[in-house]
Amino acid sequence: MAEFVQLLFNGLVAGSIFGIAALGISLVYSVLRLVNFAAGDFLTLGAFTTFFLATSIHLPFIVAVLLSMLLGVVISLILEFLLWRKLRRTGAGLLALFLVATGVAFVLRQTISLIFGGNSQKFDIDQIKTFEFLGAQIAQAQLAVLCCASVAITFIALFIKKSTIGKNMRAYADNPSLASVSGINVDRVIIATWTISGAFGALAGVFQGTVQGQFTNGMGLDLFLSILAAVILGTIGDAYGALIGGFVLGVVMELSTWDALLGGIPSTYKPVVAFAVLVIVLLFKPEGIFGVKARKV
Amino acid sequence: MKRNKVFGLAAAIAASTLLVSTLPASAASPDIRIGSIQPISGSGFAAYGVGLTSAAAFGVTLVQEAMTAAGVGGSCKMIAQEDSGADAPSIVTEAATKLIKSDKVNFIIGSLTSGASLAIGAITASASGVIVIASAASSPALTTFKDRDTLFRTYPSDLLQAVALVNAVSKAYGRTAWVTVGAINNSFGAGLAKAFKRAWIKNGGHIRGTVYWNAGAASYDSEAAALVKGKKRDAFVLIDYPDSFAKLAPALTRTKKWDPATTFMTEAFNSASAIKTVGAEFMNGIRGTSAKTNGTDPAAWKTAFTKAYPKNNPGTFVDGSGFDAAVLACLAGISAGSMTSRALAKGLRNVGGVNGGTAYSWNQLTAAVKDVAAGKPVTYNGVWGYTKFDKAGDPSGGAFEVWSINDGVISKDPTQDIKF
Repeated sequence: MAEFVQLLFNGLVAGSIFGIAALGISLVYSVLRLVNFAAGDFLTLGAFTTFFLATSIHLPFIVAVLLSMLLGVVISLILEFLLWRKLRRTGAGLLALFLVATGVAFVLRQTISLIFGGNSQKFDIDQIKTFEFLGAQIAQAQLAVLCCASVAITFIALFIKKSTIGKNMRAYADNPSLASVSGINVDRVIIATWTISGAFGALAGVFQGTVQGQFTNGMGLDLFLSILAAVILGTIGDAYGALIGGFVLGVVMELSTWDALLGGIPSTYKPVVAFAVLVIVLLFKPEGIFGVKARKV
Repeated sequence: MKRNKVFGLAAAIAASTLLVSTLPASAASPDIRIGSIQPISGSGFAAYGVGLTSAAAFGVTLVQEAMTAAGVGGSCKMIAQEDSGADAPSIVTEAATKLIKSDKVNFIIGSLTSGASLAIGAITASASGVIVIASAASSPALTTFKDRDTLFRTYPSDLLQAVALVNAVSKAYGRTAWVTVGAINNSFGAGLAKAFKRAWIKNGGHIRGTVYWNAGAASYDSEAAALVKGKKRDAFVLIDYPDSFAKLAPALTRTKKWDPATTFMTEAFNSASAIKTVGAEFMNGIRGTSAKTNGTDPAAWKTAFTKAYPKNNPGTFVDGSGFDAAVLACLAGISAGSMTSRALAKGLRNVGGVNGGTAYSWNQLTAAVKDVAAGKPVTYNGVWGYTKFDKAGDPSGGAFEVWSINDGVISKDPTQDIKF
């Protein structure tokens, strides 16, 4: 029982981070039809900026996190105005967008290395303090991440569902042409999309840095494939699906090592399990967990 | 008249041929081009990479000075020093390709890790006229790698380190102790874990379990749980790098079933920078083994090295190996006579003591260069030790020490040193 609780908790923590990071990718795809391969590096940006602001400038940690999210938003918007908008106007295809996004990822990563150096860093957070719950050791830092992530997920889910801009985003994602002629301000929708993507990408990076205790400038790249798997699992373009996909992936990866499941698999195969689940789901439901089959005309 | 001219020309060619054949092969004034690849900016590895890069450059400089002093023509030059980041295979491959194709080097010194060194070996195996000498790679995988005799190393294989680890653990906990083995999932970690387990069981010991982990995992809690799972064990043997252990150590501590004082590790943690990366609070009492210098007057060499390189010299335990690799490369280039891979490999064995010859230490390079240029075999006894490369390009011997960390400070126990 204790092992199950421990693995479930670990999975929920990992899943919440996957989910928050996946949300931005999914939203950007739903609105702009762009798979943002630079999204992983926004995690790294968030972690390193928070580290710098909290450790070198000595700002309170929460202020450092908020400023990092703001920086994520600013960079996302700069890229939108300087790059993505122009590429859309020139009618850049999927391959061109893919290559540009990959290039942006490289530039971001190298810029982070240039500014913050190549050394690994860690937040000044107690990594050791734990609470015992049903025999499992629940780390204080991880519990804090899970709580904060839950609040963030609830907030963004309500925002997308209830707010006018959220409804506009969903409408535009469903049918861009119809949304445009219905008077929806497309520019506002795009700006809101990049704002959420940049802010939540940076936040996911801070969460990951907090959970791991230490991070390098390769952190976002290391996580990117798992995040992308969460996006596809939850149906690419579906914000709620991305959140659920993240949780499913995190929990399945951790529980796959459980002894009770035929002895559990070695932990080195956790990523394999994640992609095996993805393949199985896509075999039976090619549109992802929350996808709806396209109706034949 | 015309006939005389033809005879004259033939005589001149014959005389030149005769003259050339009586001279040592090296009299052709070789221009030996060396390049290095090390993780200069990579997190966790940078201290080692910077030290090895400087040490190799120092070695090249000393041989060039010795060549001038000995009146031997040609040159040995460090052409380029490439940064492999954190030894990522893609960057290493790119750097090696650049060194071979653009810089036309004859020898590559590096890189730090076994995986990166194997990546370079894969390139040199299919190139012509270039040899790689790994100066810190320890995986047994280098021994069996199909490199067409182009991958050498100055650092001893982990097959020897496994025996040193077995000695250290059995001295602390007895020959029949139960040990849990954990390792990073790459050629270095898996190779040493396998070698240790084999040697430990052969020694009469027991293995409680084996756990591997990936370098870039999203979390390390399930790995930590797997390590401490089951009945009590006497000791842990954990084979890892500082960057990944910095994530694993807090997870292990949170299990409340891990005591660093029961843990043995390897050379990657035998440095102040590694302790800083992981955090001294997670490493109190950890012990480990690492290869050590086994050569001539390492203290004098360190003084000379520090004087020549006051900067870019963090002073790691393995610097001497990088120096020796560069010196051997230059001497082998002089000995080889031609710059084919086969001749360079033959040259390395000729100066590394395989064919005997006078023994020269790192501070007798002028005499060594004279002998090599005269076509004689020599035994270069470096700072790190002698190499006497075997058929696989591995050094025939090696020395290991046992270290421990207490309150963030590394101390050595010379009574546990072991030589092969």
